[in-house]
Amino acid sequence: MKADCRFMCWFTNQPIQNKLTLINVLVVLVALLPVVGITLSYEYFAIRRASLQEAEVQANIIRDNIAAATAFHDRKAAAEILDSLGASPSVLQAAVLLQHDEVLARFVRDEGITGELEKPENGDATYYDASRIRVNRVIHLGGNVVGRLAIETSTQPLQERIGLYLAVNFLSTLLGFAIALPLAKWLKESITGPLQVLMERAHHVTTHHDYSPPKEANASNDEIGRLSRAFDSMLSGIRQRDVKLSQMAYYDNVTGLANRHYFVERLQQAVAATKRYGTRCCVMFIDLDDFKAVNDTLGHDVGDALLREVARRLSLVSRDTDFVCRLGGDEFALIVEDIKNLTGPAVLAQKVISSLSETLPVDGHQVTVGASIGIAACPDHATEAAGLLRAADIAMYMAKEQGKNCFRTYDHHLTEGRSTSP
Amino acid sequence: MKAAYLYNFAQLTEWPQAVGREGEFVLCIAGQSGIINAVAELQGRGVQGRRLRLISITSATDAERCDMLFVEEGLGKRGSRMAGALRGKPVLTVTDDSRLGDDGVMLVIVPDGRRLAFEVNLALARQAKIKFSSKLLRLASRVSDE
Repeated sequence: MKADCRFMCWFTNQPIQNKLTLINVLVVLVALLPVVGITLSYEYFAIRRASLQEAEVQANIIRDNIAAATAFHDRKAAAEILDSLGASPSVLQAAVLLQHDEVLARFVRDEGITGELEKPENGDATYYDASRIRVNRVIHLGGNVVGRLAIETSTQPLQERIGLYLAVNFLSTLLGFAIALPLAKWLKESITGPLQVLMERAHHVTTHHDYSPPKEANASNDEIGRLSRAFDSMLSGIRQRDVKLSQMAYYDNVTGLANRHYFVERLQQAVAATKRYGTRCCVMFIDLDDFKAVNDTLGHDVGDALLREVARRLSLVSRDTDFVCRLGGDEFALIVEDIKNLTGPAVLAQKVISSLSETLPVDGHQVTVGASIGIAACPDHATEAAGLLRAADIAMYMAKEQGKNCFRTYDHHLTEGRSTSP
Repeated sequence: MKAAYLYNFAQLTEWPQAVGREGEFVLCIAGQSGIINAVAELQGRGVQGRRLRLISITSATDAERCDMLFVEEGLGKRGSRMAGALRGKPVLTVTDDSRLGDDGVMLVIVPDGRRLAFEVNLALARQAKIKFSSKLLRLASRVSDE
């Protein structure tokens, strides 16, 4: 199993570019091999047949020409005729034998040729092996056997032609590869290029948590284009979900104001800013008076509508840089940053009280609520967010105790007073 | 040896079409029993699609029936008479008597070392409308054309 897996596992782990290259090469090989094989074997057989035919025709011509000389045992004439074989470069040796195997004439191209020409048997025959073709012919004159002829031919021309054919085939294959290579490269890039872009984007998204839309979308309509768009719409889904999640995490779903969680974060930032820049900030706790009564008598829907109206008014009276939030229930809060003294917040608190003491039209009801506000400043009353919150809370309760619909600024004497009074 | 030569001559010669009996090729021998015995083995063999028939003749008058006549050495005047009588007639005349060569015999067999050679009188053969194969002419040791 492991051995089986080795190639496939290796292949599976290759980049698509390599896979495509490999597939290209395999396809070309698979397509070329049978073609080359078939044409080569066809060519081999055709050339061999032609060579055999050529040798036989040559032998037949010599046989007919040499018949008379053989009949008259004319060695000189027979030798002259055999010597004419010298013009044919592939002939290695030849011989004419009379009856009783007496050699009448003999032709040897090269004295170095080894291997005696075998005694031709009676009858016409053609033999061949890898290197030689031998043609035996019986010499007739007027229907009578006068002798026998044997011619041995080299197969070298055949081998040379096959070699040439192989070389031509090889070169044309190389040429084919040379032409196919840029084509394959272009193909690879057209497929893997967009994939590469997509992969880089995915990588960017995972490392930078950047779900912003791409600068340019893949416009093609193939699988990769669709994959790319699917990826984009997935990103946009993630963006929408993120917005929704942060909405849920940071905002109050009744009033649309920031929630307590967001408030705490912002307060910490504000406190940190006062330390860093030596500035001052303040926090206001706003608690609606008699909200519970409205909720109990007119129902939650009216209560919610009232909260929304309160939120609207708080946003109206505060500056753009002030941070308005709903802490929960009938509690709201304001963070005012970068202030010089506590006069500004006092003015703002007064504005809030007047705005909320008006009769509010809510769902066809005229509702009157008031607000008690506690103010605490950093670094005046506390230098930590938790302390600041506690201080604002205490100030707010003081305001409530002092008859509601008013504001109080934290003073540590208040605490002492509170703690001492029963 | 000579018998084989005679047979090969017959194979390599062309007679005018009008002449020739159907089915038979008549080889006449004028000479001693020795040569007749030697040639006897040719009896019945095929020559250009005809069966060879051997006839021994002694006079020129018999010679006209022949397709081919061999005049053996040593017949003297009788031999040259026979050859003279056949001049212009489509009978291939052969001899191994070199003295008969000028007396109107077309092919003369002459000894050439260990083997036999032959000479051709082409003019005489042309008169008789007899053609020799070029193969035969090539092998001839001398071709005269007068």
